Amino acid sequence: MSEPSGRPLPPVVWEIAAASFLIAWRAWAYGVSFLLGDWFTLLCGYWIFTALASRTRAWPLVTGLVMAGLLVRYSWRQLPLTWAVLGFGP
Amino acid sequence: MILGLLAMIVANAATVLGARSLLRFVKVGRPATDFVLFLLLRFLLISTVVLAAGAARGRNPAVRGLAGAAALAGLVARGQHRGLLPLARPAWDLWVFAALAVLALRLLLQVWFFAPYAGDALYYHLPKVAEWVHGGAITRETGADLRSLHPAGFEVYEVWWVVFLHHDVFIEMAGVEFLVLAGAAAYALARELGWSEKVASLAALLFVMTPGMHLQATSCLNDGPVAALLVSTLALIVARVHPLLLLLPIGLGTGIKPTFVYALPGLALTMWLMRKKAGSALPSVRVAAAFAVAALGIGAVWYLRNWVLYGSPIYPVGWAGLKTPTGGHLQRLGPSLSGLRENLACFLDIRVYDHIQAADPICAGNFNWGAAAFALGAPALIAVLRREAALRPIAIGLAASLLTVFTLVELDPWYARFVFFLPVLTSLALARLWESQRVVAVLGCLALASGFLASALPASLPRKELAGLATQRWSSRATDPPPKPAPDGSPIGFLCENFANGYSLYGPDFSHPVVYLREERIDDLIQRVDRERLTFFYTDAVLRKKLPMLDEGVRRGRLRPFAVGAWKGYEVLPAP
Repeated sequence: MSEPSGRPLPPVVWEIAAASFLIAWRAWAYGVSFLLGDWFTLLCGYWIFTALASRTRAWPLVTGLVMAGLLVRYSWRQLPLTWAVLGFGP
Repeated sequence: MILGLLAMIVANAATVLGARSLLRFVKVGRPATDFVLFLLLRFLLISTVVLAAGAARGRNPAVRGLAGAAALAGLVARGQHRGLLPLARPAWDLWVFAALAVLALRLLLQVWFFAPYAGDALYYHLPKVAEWVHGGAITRETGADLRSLHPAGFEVYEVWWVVFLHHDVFIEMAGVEFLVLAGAAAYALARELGWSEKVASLAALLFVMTPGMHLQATSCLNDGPVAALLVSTLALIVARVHPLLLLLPIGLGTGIKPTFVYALPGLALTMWLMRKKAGSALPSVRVAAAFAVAALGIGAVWYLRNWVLYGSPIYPVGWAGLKTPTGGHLQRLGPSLSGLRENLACFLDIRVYDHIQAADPICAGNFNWGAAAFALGAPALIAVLRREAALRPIAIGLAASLLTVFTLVELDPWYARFVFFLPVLTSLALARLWESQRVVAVLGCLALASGFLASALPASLPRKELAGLATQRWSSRATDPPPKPAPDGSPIGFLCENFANGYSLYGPDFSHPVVYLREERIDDLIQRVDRERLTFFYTDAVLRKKLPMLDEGVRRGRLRPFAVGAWKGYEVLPAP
């Protein structure tokens, strides 16, 4: 990536590049279809969004959505196992 | 019993006041970091006392109690009890106080109702505790499992909690103490980052609520203590204490498990990244040096023992790693890049989801870092790292520690327990974001509730099993007692060539000496069981090498096999 003004690239660009590289690595290693349910890819996407929009009014909302989504994803499989150990499951 | 309980209380009070007395030589003047140093000094004192008493064969409980009482009287006379409890309430949210109180109460109930249940603890950690308590000394006999010769720094603390009562009812308190250290270290880290007491208390609560870490506290396993000491080392690094004081957790941690050392390069990197931060003054360099030498000595004692007795400090691990007597591969020696790749991929793609089974202390198939760290802590880390430059050296160091550990350990179903230190990072980030984002606080409460449930009972001790334990008398409570009782004080034989539960044979009050049968020939075995007057002995569930020998004993009419539940063994018949 050339940089016409001679000034260093802003840190945000590096952050987006790093997160994109990690997503690309996951896609290369496991295939694009793997990315849909991948926790790590979601985090990298959230990193890109945070780098671009951390000062916007949408950021807290998206942060809440990402966290809630991951909480549901985690609990969907884990909570029934915990319930079973506590004696409330099948 | 009452005298033993009194002796235990007096001895613990003496170590608390003793550690407080020693703290004045090394304190840095910041309460959170000083509390970490205080806890480390108490561990140092306990280790020293147990090892010295073990070497001197100080088996008389009355002598131990009197020594504790004399030490306590001396410390009280010097006024060390004054100002022990802080008068000012820290600026924590009321609900954090309440949550910590509930957790403390639940931990005490877990200590009371749990009996040692984790396989590794029953196979090779606790048989040596039983041997030492039964023998009243640090004996050479440590059990049948080869791994019992690994460093035993944590077992020394477990001895402390059983030696006064000559019973294992409080043995889990050793792990609980290290959980307190883990929380204190997370708190100190947050405070050293300049964060408020409220954020620090949240970080500590989140870290000790990590399900795997929490369940380790009452499991008699040593990975939780290793993580607690690593985070303590990190807290002292961030506090820029004198390097001599870093040797305190490093010595203690090295004596507990070599995986502690595996993580040190990352902490050294954090130290290097923070080299420009001003250091803390040390009241007495000479005393700090003495503490450092003592801690290193305590850490080195197991490696020296193995060097002297078996010719290698890391025995039974050899150049090819550690194999079972029957040829199975257990542990690797040295780094492996392919191992790193496998461990990292398995960790990121499978273990982090915690979806193989419910939480347990040994991390079977999971990482057990809980909903708070997975769902909230990880995104919070991205947000907080962007704006908190001070957190970056910690994150870089812990990430490097993760990589070095993964480079050095074998991919097996349980390896994620070696990186229990990692959730301190997500705990710090989540606590920081919790303060400023209401939505994070709401979701955080849900995640904490999930963590509270997940850390109530381990997968290997479900409610039905716990109910069975709770109905037993406390004095005979055991998870898997042997089915054939032996008269009190009479020995029980144990022939084990691989892994098996040796600890339960001693009984929770250590009333049965265990005779380890290592004979290779049937004539020697028969001679030994006759000499020891054994009427029966237990064996591994699966025997390979020694089965023909035992079959020969059956053919000769001297042995008769039996099996009850998971227990197998042989009755010894009189000579025809």
